[in-house]
Amino acid sequence: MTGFRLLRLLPLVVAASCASGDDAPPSAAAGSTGGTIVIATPGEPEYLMPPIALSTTARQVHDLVYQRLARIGDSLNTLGDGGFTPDLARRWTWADDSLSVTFTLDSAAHWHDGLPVRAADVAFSFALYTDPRTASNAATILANVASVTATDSLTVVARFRTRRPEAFYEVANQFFILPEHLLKEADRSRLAASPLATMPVGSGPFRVTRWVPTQLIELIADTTAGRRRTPLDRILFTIAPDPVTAFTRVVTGEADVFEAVRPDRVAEVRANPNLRLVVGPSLDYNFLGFNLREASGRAPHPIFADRTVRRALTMATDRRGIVANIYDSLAVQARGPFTTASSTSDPTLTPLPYAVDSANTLLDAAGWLRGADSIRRKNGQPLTFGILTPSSSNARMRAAVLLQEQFRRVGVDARVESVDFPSFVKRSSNRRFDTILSQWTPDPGPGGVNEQWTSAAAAPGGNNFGNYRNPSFDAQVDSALASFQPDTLRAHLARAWRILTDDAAAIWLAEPKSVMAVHKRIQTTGIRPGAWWAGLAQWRIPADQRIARDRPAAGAAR
Amino acid sequence: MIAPPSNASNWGAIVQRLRADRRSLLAIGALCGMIVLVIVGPLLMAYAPYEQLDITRLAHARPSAEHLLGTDVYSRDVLSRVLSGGRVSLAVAMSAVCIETVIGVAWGLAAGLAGGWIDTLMMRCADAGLSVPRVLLLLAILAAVPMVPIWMLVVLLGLTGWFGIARLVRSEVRSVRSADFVLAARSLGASPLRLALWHVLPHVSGPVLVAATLAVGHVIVLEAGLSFIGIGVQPPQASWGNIIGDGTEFIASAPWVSIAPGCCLVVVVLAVSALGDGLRDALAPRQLPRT
Amino acid sequence: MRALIQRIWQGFVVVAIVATVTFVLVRLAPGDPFSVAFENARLTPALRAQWRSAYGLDGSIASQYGHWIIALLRGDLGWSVSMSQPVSRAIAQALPYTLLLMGIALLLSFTIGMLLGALQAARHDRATDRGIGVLTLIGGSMPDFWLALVLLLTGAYWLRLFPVGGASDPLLPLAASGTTVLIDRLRHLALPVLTLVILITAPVARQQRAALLDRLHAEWVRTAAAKGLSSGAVFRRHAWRTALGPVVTLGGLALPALAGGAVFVERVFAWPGMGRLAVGAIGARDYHLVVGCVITASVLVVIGSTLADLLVMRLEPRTADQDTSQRQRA
Repeated sequence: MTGFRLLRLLPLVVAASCASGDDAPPSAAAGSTGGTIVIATPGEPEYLMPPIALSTTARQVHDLVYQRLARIGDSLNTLGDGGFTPDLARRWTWADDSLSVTFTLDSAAHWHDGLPVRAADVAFSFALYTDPRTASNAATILANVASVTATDSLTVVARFRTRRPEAFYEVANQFFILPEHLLKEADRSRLAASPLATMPVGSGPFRVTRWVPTQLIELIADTTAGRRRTPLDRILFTIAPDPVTAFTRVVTGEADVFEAVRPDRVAEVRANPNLRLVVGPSLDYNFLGFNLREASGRAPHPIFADRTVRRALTMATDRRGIVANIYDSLAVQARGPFTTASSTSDPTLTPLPYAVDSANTLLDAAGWLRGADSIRRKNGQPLTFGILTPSSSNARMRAAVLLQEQFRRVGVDARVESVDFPSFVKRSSNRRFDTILSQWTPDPGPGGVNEQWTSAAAAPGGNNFGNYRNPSFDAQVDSALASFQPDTLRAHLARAWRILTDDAAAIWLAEPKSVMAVHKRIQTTGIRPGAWWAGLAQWRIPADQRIARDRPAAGAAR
Repeated sequence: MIAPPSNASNWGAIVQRLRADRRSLLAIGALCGMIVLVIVGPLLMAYAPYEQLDITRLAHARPSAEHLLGTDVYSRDVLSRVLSGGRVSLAVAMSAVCIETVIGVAWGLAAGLAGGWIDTLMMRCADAGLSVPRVLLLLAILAAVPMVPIWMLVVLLGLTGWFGIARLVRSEVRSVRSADFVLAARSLGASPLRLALWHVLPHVSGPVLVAATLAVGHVIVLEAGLSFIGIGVQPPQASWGNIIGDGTEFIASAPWVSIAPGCCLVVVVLAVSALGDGLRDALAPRQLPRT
Repeated sequence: MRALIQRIWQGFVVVAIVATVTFVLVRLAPGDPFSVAFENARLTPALRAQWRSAYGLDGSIASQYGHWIIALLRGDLGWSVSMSQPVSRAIAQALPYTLLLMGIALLLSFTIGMLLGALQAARHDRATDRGIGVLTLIGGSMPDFWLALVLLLTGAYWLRLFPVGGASDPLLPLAASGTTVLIDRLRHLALPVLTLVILITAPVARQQRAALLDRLHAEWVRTAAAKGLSSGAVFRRHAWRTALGPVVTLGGLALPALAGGAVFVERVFAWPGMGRLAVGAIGARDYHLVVGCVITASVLVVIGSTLADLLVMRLEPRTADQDTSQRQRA
């Protein structure tokens, strides 16, 4: 619940391979299927309505309950259709001009209420997502899709406005297929009030049977109409009010899975005979962003408009130490607006060094001189600024206090401005801050870059809250996004990252790893960066290791 | 002129009774000790309370000769923080209680002396304040004005705490309004203000003193609670509440961070309630008090 | 009877003041109900305006207040954006949990507290009196969140006797028998109830002791004793009954602390009651839900103190004309 979710949040990062059904072992002897996985989640979904729900828990439920046309592969490739696995669409063919794709739907697909899924549902869902009344934040991601039309009951044609490397990804992966027959009457400006928002009816491998607010969400494997069933019977999300309680439920055996173990609790998981630690890369990174303009937006920021000051402050911070203090070994130092796991990463990029002496020299050179109280001043103005951070994020609160002290040592008076999440969102999008501790989960593909650091995104309404602008950076990003060749794309991005680093647009802090605690009886599949639940439908619990709650009484799984 | 049957002469007797009460003496001793400790203590410390000694190697160091109470997650010396946090906690609580006492007394006096519909309206407002849990009220206010500086926190704590004292004062005023000495003063032409300050106030000062003493205990816990959840005293300033809060996440692996400030809180609240009880007994030794 | 009507009218005025102030107060905070879930950079101002009007949150505060009052008179507390359901339903889900926790805690602590207080009064100034006095003083001096934390650590974390939080085991209802469910409920209740009992018992015992001693010293009890009644009979027949008054008053006054849900205790134990609902609502800027929670708490408090006053009037008719409610926060 604490992540910064303004970007192209992951309808993007996808889930799972129902598709692996094609080569999955057929459900063999009786007893090979069964079991309940209890996931302790720290956040209640706001509602289960894919176009407008943004919380992580909602995304997890959606990925189990609803289908997309096709899903991104484990390589996280977003260019062309490489690596994509079929979901609702069994296959697809490209038009010769690459400006349209024809999808053929799975004829056996059906809604959980028993009706078949038809091409009209796909066209309806696209229309729903892109209707301004819906106000889905996926709408802009779908902007390059000119139309999605049904040509017969099982065939859908998607047409693109322009040829783009990520065109297929955008249409196939970025929206869920919703039931037209249950939503066509709904008021699109109040989708949250639709009955479907609390009791979804999808076509995915699991269906929602109960949602008791503040308590749990129960999903049961859907076996109606001859669907090939998943190895598990049941997935329960038990809702805890905060991450600590959620974690403790796993430690005490009340739950099986906790998705974000904190560094200081890792030893506890290792020592627990029932649990194992599943560590993998993630797509998150966090940073201290500078605001290059004043809060009013009209004038350059009196401190951070100066590139020298930004570089000095970056060099004044022991980023390695901060990362080690907060995450121990469960994060690596971030080097730019990307993570090691993403296809946009540049492993050769070196960050600015940690060098307090150089930082002091640079600040002196920039005219900020130490006064009697050891705070620097320039033209009588003290070097003082706020660090905006959401109080709901422990890691960022920690980072704020650590940075505050390190800034103090070079003569900077920084204030920690910890505010609750709504205030944080408000102030960041209104750009009313000096510096901001942000954590972003970008798109696995290169598209997200365009929306966070370019001049275009610095315009009002964009996500470049710090107002960073550099035409040569923009040019490299544009060239990258126009590349169909992965190598050229990466070369352009590497140059863009270099420019961003030299300009010290932000102090890049950490790439936290994904650290999960999972009950030992559960066999997991590979964990996908940014979406550990992607393979959840294929997790299994061997029959001989099942415990009491794996054998629900009659009536649980039908 | 007829003097109110108070209090100047009584204070001597009250002090006498307090001195005879071991519990009160102990409480006063503990409180004074704590105050001296938090005023003098920080001056003697080798580390500043905000100084992060070594964030990679000294975080959560166990208590040792070097760090008597260990270090916290930011590698800051816990003892230094507890001492300087005590200054903040005690100062905040005492100032807030002063504010709430002044407002409460003024409100109660005004309502009690005014009588009639003004009295009714003023008391309904106090009732309204009493009927909302104070924590919720503060949470709502602190959501509206996030990151308040400390003086503002004090004011907010004071503004949300006077309802009880106002009610107490008002009911005392009602009970002495028709007492002989007040009637006499009034018939001699004393102005309402003079009447309130000179004749009624001394009479209610005893119960108010007791209530204010006990209120220090409530407020210090309240401030600690707010700081505990991160919306009270802001970093890097320490208060007992936010030190406990800093340690909560690590209570299993580094319990020393939260234990010391917690104990300090218990001692202060204990001393304050014991003193409140003692004062009450000293003020009304015969007929034991009602509330 | 007139007194009752007057009390109800007073209570109504109190709740009205509370509702109005809260209504304005929540709207002063930055952000709005859509900040958490809806706000994103792509949402144009026009769309936001549309959202706001769809949820009745456009227009000036005064006009919103007008609409809200009209809806309220029809019994409609509004729509909770963060819970996607009517405010009344959200409250109806949380309130029973708070009442359950509160009810048990109050019942236990008043029983224990009154017994302890009586014991102290009977053994006035002896070791028992002093010992209990010290214990209750310490119990009542613990910061609530700190005590909750310590109990959680020992009871749930180290000893593993009790679950770490919540009101019930979410897995249970599928298969469990009545007894199992009951035991599960009790296990979840144990720690939060214990916390509250420790905190509330202290003032009750002190009150009871003081009131009993007060009555035992009173003239007419002494007269009764002089008439030859045994001290035990005096204690039971006279002192005990009349000393109930202040304790009952205290009970009515303990409500504010609990009616909003004991915020910190609910937080530490993840108890799904009113406190947690209200805190979440403030964080989510769910205006209607915040106001709904505060009104509910305030109505409960008013009912509680009215009942306490009425009870006191019955117990000691002499005081009916006095203002018996000296209020302090429990």
